Amino acid sequence: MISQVLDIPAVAFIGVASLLLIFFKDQRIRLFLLAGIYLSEFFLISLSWPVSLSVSKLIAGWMACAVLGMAITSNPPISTTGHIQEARSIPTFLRFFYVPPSTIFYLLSAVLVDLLAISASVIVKAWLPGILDEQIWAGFILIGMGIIQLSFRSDAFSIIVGLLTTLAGFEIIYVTVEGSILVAALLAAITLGLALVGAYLILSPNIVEDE
Amino acid sequence: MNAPVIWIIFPILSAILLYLFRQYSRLVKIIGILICLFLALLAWQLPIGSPISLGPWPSLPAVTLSETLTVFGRQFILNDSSRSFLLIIYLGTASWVIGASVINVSRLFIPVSLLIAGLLTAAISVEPFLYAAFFIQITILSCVPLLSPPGIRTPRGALRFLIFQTIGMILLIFSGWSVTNVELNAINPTIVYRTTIILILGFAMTISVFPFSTWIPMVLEETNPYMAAFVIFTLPEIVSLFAFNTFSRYSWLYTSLTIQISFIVIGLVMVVGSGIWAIFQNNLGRIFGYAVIIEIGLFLITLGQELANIQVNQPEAANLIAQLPLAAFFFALLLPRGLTLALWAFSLALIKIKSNQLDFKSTQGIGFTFPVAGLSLIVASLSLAGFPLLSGYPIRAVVGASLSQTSIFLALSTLIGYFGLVLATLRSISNLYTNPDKQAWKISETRPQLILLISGCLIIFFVGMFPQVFLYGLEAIFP
Repeated sequence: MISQVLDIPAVAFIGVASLLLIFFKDQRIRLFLLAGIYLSEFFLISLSWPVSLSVSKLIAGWMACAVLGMAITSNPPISTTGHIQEARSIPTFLRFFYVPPSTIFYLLSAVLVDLLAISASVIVKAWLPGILDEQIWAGFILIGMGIIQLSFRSDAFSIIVGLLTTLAGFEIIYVTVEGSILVAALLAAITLGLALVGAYLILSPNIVEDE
Repeated sequence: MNAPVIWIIFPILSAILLYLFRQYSRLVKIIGILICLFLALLAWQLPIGSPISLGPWPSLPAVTLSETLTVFGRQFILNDSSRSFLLIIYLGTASWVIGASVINVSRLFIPVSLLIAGLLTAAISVEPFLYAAFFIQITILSCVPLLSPPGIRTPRGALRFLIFQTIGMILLIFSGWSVTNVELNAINPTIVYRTTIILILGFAMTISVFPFSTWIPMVLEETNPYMAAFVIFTLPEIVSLFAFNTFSRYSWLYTSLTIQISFIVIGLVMVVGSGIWAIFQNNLGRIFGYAVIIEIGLFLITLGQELANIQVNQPEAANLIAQLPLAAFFFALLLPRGLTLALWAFSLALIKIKSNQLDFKSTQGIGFTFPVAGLSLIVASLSLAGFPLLSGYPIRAVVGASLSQTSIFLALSTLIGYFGLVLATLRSISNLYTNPDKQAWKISETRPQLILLISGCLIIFFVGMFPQVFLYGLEAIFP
C-alpha cells in the first residue's frame, strides 16, 4: 500500500538522483544518491515482489554503498576545481550565469533518456505482462543514465557506480517477470560482487604485493 | 557423495582457503596444482551415477556418486557424460597453474583460477541452463583481479572488459526469460525478433565479438599477458559452449538464415580486420590481442557453419564441419587454441619481466637474452596464423575447405587474416632479433621455464603433424 503511494515520488527521485550522479564529482555525495536510488528501487520492486523479498535488494544495495564508501575513505578525494578554474576565465559580471558546457550536454542527454523511457513504455508494457508504467520509467531512466555514466567517465569508481545504476534499472524491470528466491539471491550477489570489485579497483593501485 | 559437491563446491572452498594462506606462495602453488590434478583424475576415473566399489572386500558397501545437487529449487547436474568437460576444465586449469608457478604472476592467480574453474563448472551444470548467465557474471567479477593485479594503475582494458561483460550478461539474463516467452508465442514475429536481438547482443558482448573486442588488445598491452590470456581463453570458451547450447536448443534460432549468415560475415570481418590491424601494431601484446580476436572470429564462422547444418538431415548434403562429431570438433578447436595461447602468453610474460613493456622499442633485441622464449613466441604466432605442420593448421584447413563449399571468396578472405598475422610475426621476429648493441647470445630462462617452453613447442608440432589423434573423423575428410 505504501509503495503504491510512493511510486511516483520514487520515480521522480530516481530521475533527479541519476542526473545528479553525473553532475557531481564528489564521491561521497554520489554514494548518498546511489543509496537513495536503492531506497526508491525497493519501493518500486515491492509493487511486484513481497516486501520480505524486496528488502533483500535494499540491503544488498546499501551494503554495496557501504563497501564503496569504505574504499573511498581510504583514498584521497578527487579535485573538483575544474569548473571553478574554467569560470575564472570569463568576465566577472557573467560568472553568476556561467554553466559549464558539460552540464548542458549531460542535461540534454538526460532529457533524451527520459523521453526514450516515456516513449518506450507502451511497447514494453505490451511485451512484459504485469509491469507498471512507473517501473518502466524508473527502469529505463536508470539503465540509460547508467550507460551515460559509463560513456562519459573513465575512473574505476564512476564505472562501478554506472554499472550498479544500470543493474538497479534492470532489476526493477526484471522482477516483474521473474520472482524466484534464487534469482533474488543471485542478483544480490552480483550487486555485492560489483561493489567488492569496485573497492578492489579503487584500492589495488596502492596495494604492494610482497614477492 | 555428490558430483556437484566434488567439482563445484570443493574447488570454490579450496580457492577461498588458498586465498587466505596466499602469503605461503610456494605451498599455495603446490596445493593448487595438486587440487586441479586430483579433480581432473577424479573426472577421468570416477563414474558418476554408477556404483563404485571401495576395495576388494565385498563386505564394504558400494558408493554411488549422485548426479544432482538442488539449491533453492534449481538443480546442478553433473552426469557421466559431463566427465569429459570436467577433465578438460581441471586439466586445463592445472596446466595454466603449472605455468604460473614458474613465472612472476600475482599471488591471487592460483586461488582465483581455481575459483573460476568451480564457477564455470556451476555455469555448465545448472538447470534451467539459462541460469548459467548468473554464474558467468560472478566468474567475470572474479576475473577482474587477474586483469588488474595489485600495485598497478587500473588498466583501461580491464574496466572496458567489466562494462561489456556486465551489460552482456544483463542482456543474457533477460533473454533467459524472453526465450521462454518466445516458445509460448512463437507465432508472434515481433517477440521473436526482439528476443533474437537481445540474445545475440548479449552473446556478442560476452564472447567479445567485434566491436566489443576492443578490450582484448588493451588488456594484453597493459597487464600481465599470462594472467590476461587465462581469462581471455577460459571465459569465452565456456560462454561459447553456453551459446552453442542455447542456439541448438531452439529451432527458431538455428533455422534463422539471418543468424547463420551474420555469424559467418561477422566472423570473417573479425578474421580479416584483425589480421590487417595486427600488421600495423608496434606492441607484442597488442599483436597477441589481435591474434586472439582472429580465433574468436574463427569460432563464429564455425558456429555459423554448424548451425546451418543442424537441420540438414542428409549427411552427404552437409558441409565438411558438420561431418565431424560436434563435440570432437569443439575439443579439437579447444586444444590447439589453449596450447598456443598459453605458450604465446608464457613467452610474452617472460619477455615482459625483462623489458617491463611490450612495445617494439623496449623489446628490441630481447631474443638474444631470451632466445627460447622468443622462439616459442614465433612458433605460437605461426601456429595461430595457420602455418602447416603446426597445431593451428588442421582446424584452419577444415574451416577453409568447409567455407569454400559455400563460397570460394569467403575461404580466400580468411587467408587475408592469416597472412596479416604472418606479416605481424615477421615484424616481431625482426624486432626480437635485431641486435644494435651487438649482444652475445645468452639463455636467461630458468630450467623449469625452458622445460615448459620446449615441451610446449614440441606439443604444437606433434598436434600439427598427427591431428587425427585429437580430431576424430578428420581422416574421412583428408584421407
